[in-house]
Amino acid sequence: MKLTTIYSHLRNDLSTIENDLEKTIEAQHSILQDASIQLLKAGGKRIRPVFVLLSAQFGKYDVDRVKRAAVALELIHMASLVHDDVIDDASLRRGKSTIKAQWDNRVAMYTGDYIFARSLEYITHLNKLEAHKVLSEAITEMCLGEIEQIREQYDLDQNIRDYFRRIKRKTALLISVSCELGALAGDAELHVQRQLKQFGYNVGMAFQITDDILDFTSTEKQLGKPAGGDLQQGNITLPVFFAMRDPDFKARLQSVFDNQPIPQNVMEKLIRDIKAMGAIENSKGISDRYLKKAYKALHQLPDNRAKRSLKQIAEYIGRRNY
Amino acid sequence: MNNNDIGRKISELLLQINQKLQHPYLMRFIDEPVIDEDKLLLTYIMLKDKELSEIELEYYAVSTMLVQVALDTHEKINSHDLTGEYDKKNRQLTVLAGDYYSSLYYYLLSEIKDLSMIRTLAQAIQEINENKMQYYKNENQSIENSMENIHRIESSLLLKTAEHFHLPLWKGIADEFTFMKRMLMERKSIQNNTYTPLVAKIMNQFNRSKGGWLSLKNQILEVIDSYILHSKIRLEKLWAEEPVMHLMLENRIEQYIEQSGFRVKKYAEEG
Repeated sequence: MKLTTIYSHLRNDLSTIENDLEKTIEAQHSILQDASIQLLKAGGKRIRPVFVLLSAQFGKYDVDRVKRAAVALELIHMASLVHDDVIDDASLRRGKSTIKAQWDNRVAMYTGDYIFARSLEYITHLNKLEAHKVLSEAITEMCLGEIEQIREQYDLDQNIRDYFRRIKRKTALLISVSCELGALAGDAELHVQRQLKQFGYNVGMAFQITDDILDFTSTEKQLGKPAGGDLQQGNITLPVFFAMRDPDFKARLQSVFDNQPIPQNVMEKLIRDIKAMGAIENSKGISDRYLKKAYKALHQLPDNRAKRSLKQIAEYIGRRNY
Repeated sequence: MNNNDIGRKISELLLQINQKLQHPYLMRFIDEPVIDEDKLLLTYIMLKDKELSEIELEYYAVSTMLVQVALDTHEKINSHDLTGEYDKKNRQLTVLAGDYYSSLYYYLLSEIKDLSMIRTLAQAIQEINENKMQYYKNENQSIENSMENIHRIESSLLLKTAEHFHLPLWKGIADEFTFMKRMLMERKSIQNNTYTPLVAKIMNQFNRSKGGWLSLKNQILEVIDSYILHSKIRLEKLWAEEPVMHLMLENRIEQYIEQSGFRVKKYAEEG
């Protein structure tokens, strides 16, 4: 089943979100407007708004209220992507030209800052003080996580706990916050908010681990960027941690990192070795463990359609192959 | 509160802001963030006009300055090709430092539960980025439009803060003070033969075939001086309405005038 099929019953509300996304990023300057629209039209799974909407259905669902969190979270995510492309010096995202490539770094910085500010202005209309505490803490953590990611690049002596902390900040936190804010905006009971937060965290961890696996197993066409890109940038992801259990592999990787840039044939050999050593299966095992915890959190929630959709999304994340 | 008290308070606030900006790993690679002390002083003095608790005042001043530092940090990002590892990290971490400082403003204002101030500063950031884009991406814009962009880029943060706290007089003072300071800085750069983006924009409006650099430089200085003079006159009028608190600001602007050579030149012409 496709992701969009799973949440097809949200079609109308997602269309409201889409309209508000478009309205919110309206800008006077044509390049600012074009850059923002380009980003919006590049699509994306809108997974964060979906989590917000579904989580809100465990309380008093009112799309006009809940959309404040849904739109803002997607905009925060979009703003971070524009700046990430400057950080990674990336020309392509989802197979399309990035803002920094189409215009330049300065335009990307202004666009990211503009969209981030629009998102904050938009969410202040959600008059839930607790939501702002949660979101502002999460954003700060996400920034610190990105700084840590750069600090830990090419560092083969880092601990696997560093990896988990990194992906928590990088991905799981915003998904967890999406669920929590949805529940908060819907005035769901406190224990429901907590379970949804837990669900989001665990799904987010599984989502990022899956992304890290796909970086080795997908084709360039599927990824919209060359396979092994994470490793090329010195990001040590879960499959690499498993492969590094073999001291020979670790020593070889160190030597590759010491002699950059990494030639394509060397990278291909590393990817083949990572796959041959069972690192992909081991990583999938960890992802499945997070998914089980996500199901456990869901289990505590009342039965409804939103719960079934959340479960299906978690299952989709577990088996997606690009 | 006398000037010494204000000076002491500004030092305390600088210390607080600096503590928030310090991140050991960032500091190894990025340029030391610069806090615009004049904007801090302006923010502090204008908010002193309101019946705020000392804690509230600190939160507002620190948050506003974090936004300013975040914007200034991102302003350092350019599109030059980088080859060295250090330069690459410097750029990556400069992007993240700006994002981090910006997140701290939201965090701080969420702590004091002030959604409306979060909104005010967010609107200021939008306005500044709109104007930065116009200024950056329009090489052939008129001098007047360029100056309008500079006005907004320099003052929107303080202007929106003044609006938020219903301080119309300070809105005018903040607008003219920050613009005039920027013009004085531009003047100083031109005197030192530094080619700034504003110089390029003004030059674009002139017929470059006539005369050499010296004549062009004088023409550019004339344009800048006319804007400085205009702001100076406006500021003096506004300061007349605010007889006490502006003295520190007046002293500061006098220093910038002296450094830029603006007054000296005017006196020489008058003499």
